[in-house]
Amino acid sequence: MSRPSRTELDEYRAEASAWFHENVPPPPDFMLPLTFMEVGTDQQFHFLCDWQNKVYEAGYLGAAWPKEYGGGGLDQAFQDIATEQMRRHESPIMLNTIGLSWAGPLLLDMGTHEERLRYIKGILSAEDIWCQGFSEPENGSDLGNAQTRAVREGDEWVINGTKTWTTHGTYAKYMILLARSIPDARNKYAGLSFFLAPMHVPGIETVPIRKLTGEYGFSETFFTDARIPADCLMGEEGQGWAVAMRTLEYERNARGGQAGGYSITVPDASEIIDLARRAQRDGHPAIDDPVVRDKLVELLIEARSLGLCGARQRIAPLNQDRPMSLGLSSKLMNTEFVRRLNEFAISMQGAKGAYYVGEPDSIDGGIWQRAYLNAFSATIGGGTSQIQANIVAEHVLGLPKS
Amino acid sequence: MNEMDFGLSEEQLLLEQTVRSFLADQVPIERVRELRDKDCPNDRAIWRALAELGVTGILVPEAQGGSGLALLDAALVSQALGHAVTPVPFLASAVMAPTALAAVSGSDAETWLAGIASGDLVFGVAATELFSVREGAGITLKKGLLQGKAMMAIDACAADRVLVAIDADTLAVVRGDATGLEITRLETVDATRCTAEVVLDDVAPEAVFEGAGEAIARMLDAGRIALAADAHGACEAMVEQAVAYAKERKQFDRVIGSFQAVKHMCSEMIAEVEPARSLLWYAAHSFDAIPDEAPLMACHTLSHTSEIAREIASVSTQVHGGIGWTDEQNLHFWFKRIANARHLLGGPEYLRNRAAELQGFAVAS
Repeated sequence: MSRPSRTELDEYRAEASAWFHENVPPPPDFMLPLTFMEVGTDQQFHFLCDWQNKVYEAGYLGAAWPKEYGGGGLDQAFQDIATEQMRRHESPIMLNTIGLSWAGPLLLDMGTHEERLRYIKGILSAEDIWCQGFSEPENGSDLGNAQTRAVREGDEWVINGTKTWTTHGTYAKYMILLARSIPDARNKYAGLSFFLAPMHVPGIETVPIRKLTGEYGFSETFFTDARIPADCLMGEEGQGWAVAMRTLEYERNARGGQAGGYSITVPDASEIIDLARRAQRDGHPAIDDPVVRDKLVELLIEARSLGLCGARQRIAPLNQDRPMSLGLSSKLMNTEFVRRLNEFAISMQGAKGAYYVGEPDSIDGGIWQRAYLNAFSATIGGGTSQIQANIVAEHVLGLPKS
Repeated sequence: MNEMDFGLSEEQLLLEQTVRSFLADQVPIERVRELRDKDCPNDRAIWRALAELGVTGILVPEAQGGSGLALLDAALVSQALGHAVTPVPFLASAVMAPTALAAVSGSDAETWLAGIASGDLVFGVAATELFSVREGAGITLKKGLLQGKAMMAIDACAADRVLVAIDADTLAVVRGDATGLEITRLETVDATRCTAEVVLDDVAPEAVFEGAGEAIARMLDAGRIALAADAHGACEAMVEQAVAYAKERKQFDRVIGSFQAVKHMCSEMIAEVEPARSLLWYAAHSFDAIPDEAPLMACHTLSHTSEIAREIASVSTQVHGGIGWTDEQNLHFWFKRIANARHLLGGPEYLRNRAAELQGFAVAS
């Protein structure tokens, strides 16, 4: 495929901009989640499903995925523009993240033709919500030690065990599941297999986890003699670790191919500037305080430099000396940055910084406080910042395993 | 606008590679070590050889014998020079002076630009008083003669000409051997960069450019971006050395790079380098492609690089343990290059305040 011309892209940008301008829904009378990990009510869930479906139907999601499976068949540059316009018009997030950003690209990359035909379109349309069964209560950072069992019986696999931090668990139709099928394998990794497992079968129970915010968004998933069809196995038996690692490359931003859109709302620079003008410090706007201002500018610079990385990542000659570096370090940097930014935003509010959602006098309805508490989902989920630092050390810098 | 709509062309990558190979061959750290003991570390032989590679005239218009390239190209070279801690007058003579001279008109400027491109003329730049300490310093022009003192003049020691900013709107050029001119090398922490005190006692300038506000502003922006690139290159070299050392040094029967505490120090350094690099290249790109953005981006990239560079200099030294603190080990050349760069064209706090002014958060002082 030849690279699209500047004119084609500009036209597409204008169309996308007009569409989002016209169609981005006004804020509903309930609080929308800022990230895909905060979908805690049916109201939020249905609102976001409908919106994702609408974006997909308009062609602005999965635009670069193959046509035969339900994508738009366009160059990646078009999807990048659509995503950029989504941000610009402050679209709500794309809900089906596990499918759009991890399972989908994985299927397109390593799945069979049949698997793609079966799953891809439902991922894009939000008809089929996906979740991920990797972490277990006893095995978090040490994912390779997962103990959920899969035993082959005739045409089925019988699953027993517990998964946790299952985002969208209560809504999901499918799960990408990492389970142990060869308990006596030569090492812990070689005993793992990877499944595209249906969730709506007897023996699977999901129990929502209440977060420190008082809200929901994750669940614990219990498997008790749950039977799933034999053809749910993805790849070969015993290859589960390699498939899971590939999945994590998508999750950790080290590999492209995602359907597009975004699933985490990062506060825009203009919002934090605006807050600094509105928040009061000793009776004056916080922005007039030189100490606040210095910190504000410092954070704006960081935001700019992190923002530019996304663009740079797509330009190969700008990454040639350390090709893995930007992708693997960006998860670490972005998630920690968002936490610090929220800390600063709350700090600026002075005494009002202590208010939380529900207090009528709170600034912006307490959204900064809630975002701060939720920021930990990103610095812990998908590999803690410390695990991420290990990965950068080993895969980018070539330092040995600990 | 958060878009990067540029790449690095094959020519740009080749230029960077050529400079890096030259420096590795001709100016290894042993050579830098010799040069630090000279009166001025800027070595003319190295400069002439770099002129052959097109480095001295990189920003000089083609009409004056230069390459007429963009600041992004100069930033790549600057990064390479910082990476090798090379003592050459690149910042003043190849970036700041030509940027200013190309923005003023006149046949003198053209002659000087040609001299810069050929490598025969080295320019120093005295402009610190525009943004930093002025106690006992400052220059006045009376009856055609320059009087006063400029501190921290960059690359001025053995320069053939010094470009002097008299105020934010006026530039003067003086000969390095002019009567009444006294140039004294300043003792700074960094032996690889020449900075000098310039005292003018009724010196007759070769030229005075009035109404040169835009030229001076552009000169400072270009200088800040190039200096950020230099410090960035030094950062990369410090990370590389820390990682190499962590892979080789053994304690408790294992390489120290296998300890998480050390691994995390290394990965956090590289994780800071990557976004800073995106910002740097964007700033360099903006200088020519989006000039309206350049003043802000220059403040952003230099202040940000200064902050991460100080951290990296400290962490890399810490990873090295005792040996990194010795003169023999050489790591300090990079540490000090970074330390000096922090003060040369405005410290991070000054630059952030300037950025706040540019963005309308603060009233200009």
